[in-house]
Amino acid sequence: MQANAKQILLLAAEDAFEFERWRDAGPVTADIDPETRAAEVAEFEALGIPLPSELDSLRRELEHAPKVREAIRCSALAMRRSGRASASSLVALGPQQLMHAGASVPWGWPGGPMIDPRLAAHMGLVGEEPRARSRRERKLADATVVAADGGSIDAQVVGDYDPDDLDDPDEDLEDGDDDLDELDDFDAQELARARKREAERRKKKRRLEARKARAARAPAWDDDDLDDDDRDDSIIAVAPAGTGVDRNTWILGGVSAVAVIALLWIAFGDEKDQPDQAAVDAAALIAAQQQQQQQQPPPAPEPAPPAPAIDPNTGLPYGQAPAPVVDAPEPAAGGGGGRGGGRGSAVRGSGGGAAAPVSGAGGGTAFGGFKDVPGPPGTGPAPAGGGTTPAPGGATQPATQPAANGGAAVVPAPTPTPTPTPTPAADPPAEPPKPAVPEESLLTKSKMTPAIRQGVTQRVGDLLACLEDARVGKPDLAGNVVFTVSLDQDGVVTKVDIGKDEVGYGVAKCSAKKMRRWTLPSAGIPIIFDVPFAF
Amino acid sequence: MPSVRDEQLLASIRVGDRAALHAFAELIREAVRELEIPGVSDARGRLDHIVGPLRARLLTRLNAPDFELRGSLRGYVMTFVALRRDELEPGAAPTGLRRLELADTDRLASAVAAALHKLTQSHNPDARELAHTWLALAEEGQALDVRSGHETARMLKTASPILARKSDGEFAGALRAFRTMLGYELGKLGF
Repeated sequence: MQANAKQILLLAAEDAFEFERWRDAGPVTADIDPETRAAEVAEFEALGIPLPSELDSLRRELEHAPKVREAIRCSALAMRRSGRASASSLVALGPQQLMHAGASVPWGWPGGPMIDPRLAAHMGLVGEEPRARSRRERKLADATVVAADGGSIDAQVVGDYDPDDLDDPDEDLEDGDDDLDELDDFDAQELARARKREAERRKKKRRLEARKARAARAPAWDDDDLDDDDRDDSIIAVAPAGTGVDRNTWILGGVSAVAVIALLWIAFGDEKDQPDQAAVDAAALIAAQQQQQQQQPPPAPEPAPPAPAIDPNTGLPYGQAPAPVVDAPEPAAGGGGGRGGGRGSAVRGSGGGAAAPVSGAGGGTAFGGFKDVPGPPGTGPAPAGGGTTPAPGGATQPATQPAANGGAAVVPAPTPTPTPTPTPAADPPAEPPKPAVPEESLLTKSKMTPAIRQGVTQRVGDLLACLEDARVGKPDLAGNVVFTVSLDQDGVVTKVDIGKDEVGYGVAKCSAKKMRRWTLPSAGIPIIFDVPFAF
Repeated sequence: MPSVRDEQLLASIRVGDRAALHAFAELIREAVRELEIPGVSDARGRLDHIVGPLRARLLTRLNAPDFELRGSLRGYVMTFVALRRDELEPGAAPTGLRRLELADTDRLASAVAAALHKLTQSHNPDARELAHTWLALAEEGQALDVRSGHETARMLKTASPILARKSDGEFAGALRAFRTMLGYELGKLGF
């Protein structure tokens, strides 16, 4: 046996020994040199960037090789810890397709990916939540609050939030040590727990979607299971992203209007034997004041004759101490439910959100920490049920001719009813913000620029190499292949699809693989174009 | 896609730039420290007895004609070292190249030859073809300029007309089966 032969045989042994650690992985990792791919996976993991689809499938295969999985996890952790994986790689990786809806979670991380939970929530991955690394982040991830637009948004639990009703109590384990250590003691039990949690969250998400659909059918919300005031007591929701009038304002206004109508009816319904009209119930007065403040300041058709001067701050005559603010009295019968009032008063730190309406047309907000976004003019609450418009000056000008039998809930207005302002008072509530359309779907196919065409022509040799490889087995290979190439704004090929393949024998696939490594002259914008080849 | 800086460093390493090689050794040293390998990362000193061989192996990989860096150089080095963590850890079972180094090379070479001859009788046609090709390469030997098993495995495809007909995926699957069988046969022979 020659010396060279011995070296070659030792190379065969080295190859076999080295392969041992990859052996348990699937056929994808049978790539001749999968180390560079594994390093790429580790780097993506370290940076917390969702993997491209091809790497994602490889990583799923690697899950079965424990040594490789452990190595990738360790290297990613080390790079994260040192913070050295960051800048150059991020720049080098270029613009990525960050995530597609329904993307699977990386496997190497117990409990899920290292994606910011807020990002995951916006991407529709609420159910696939990463393992929280600290108490605070876990809380951020746990709570889900129904936003004003009907969707679910993240919330922060700030007080005596009890996670038992939403999640496994074990999830609230105190964890003060280093977050990296936490990943090391991952075991199957915890995985099962994570799966259980995920199932619960999915169920909850389905419930929220059903509720959203219900709300879309009937704008006036009814009671549901989120009306437990003591539970909402410790939740501060994030301000909704939408700029329109929020739903809570409408609900609150509707409840107030119904309350005012009901109280006025109670107050004036049997007023035949009460000659003194000035003796109006104080509660009705307060409620009417609230109603007046929530409405658009109407054009005063006539001056109020004997009305005492009203303190604009308290809504009461000067010199009169403001009564302790109470919750808006609920109407005696039905109509909109007590959701708005109850919810508003249950929010911690609301600063009098419901009881002291903020100036502006929108009325009070359920979000205590945020200023109310001033709504468009004339967005006074529409009455929920009766369709009656209360008199604009109802509080200071009580009705002079109450209904005799009290059967009608309409409040008779002695003054001529002012013409409704042409402002968008009757506009429906603003639609919930539409989900952002991914940029990729907005792109349409265009033609190659001359520079790109030249760049492709220069690189045709790569594709011909694929053809030549295949022609070894089948010399008469020929046909047309059409590739659909996506370029980003820097000219980097981000995606190559095979539109038409008449050649077969893996030529198109091999060519597409090579084209994915190309960097063509930039068009300045991301573009998609077809590249036809006649082999 | 590596950054320009990594590409520059890689090019400098390939041409043997002294400063680049030194920086590369420092990169490996940092990786060894950061991976917290028991008995290695916590040892004082410059760990040259660990970094030196690792650098030699890495340079072999980097100098291979088909080597393509896909992420950062640091990421590759870190993953390379992490994949061989069990080889570095004192007291761990010998695996990979450590297993190769611990073995008597003459005995190992004859064991590989025996295993390859056995695999030429395999029921798996791909394994049969690969074993024949390996043996043919060993006989041809003189003109072979390869330094690693990975590199040779890449060469196998063009060394056999049957294998050359296979697509990348098919060839990778065949190679995987063959590597598994060869490792199993060598294990049976005591390696």
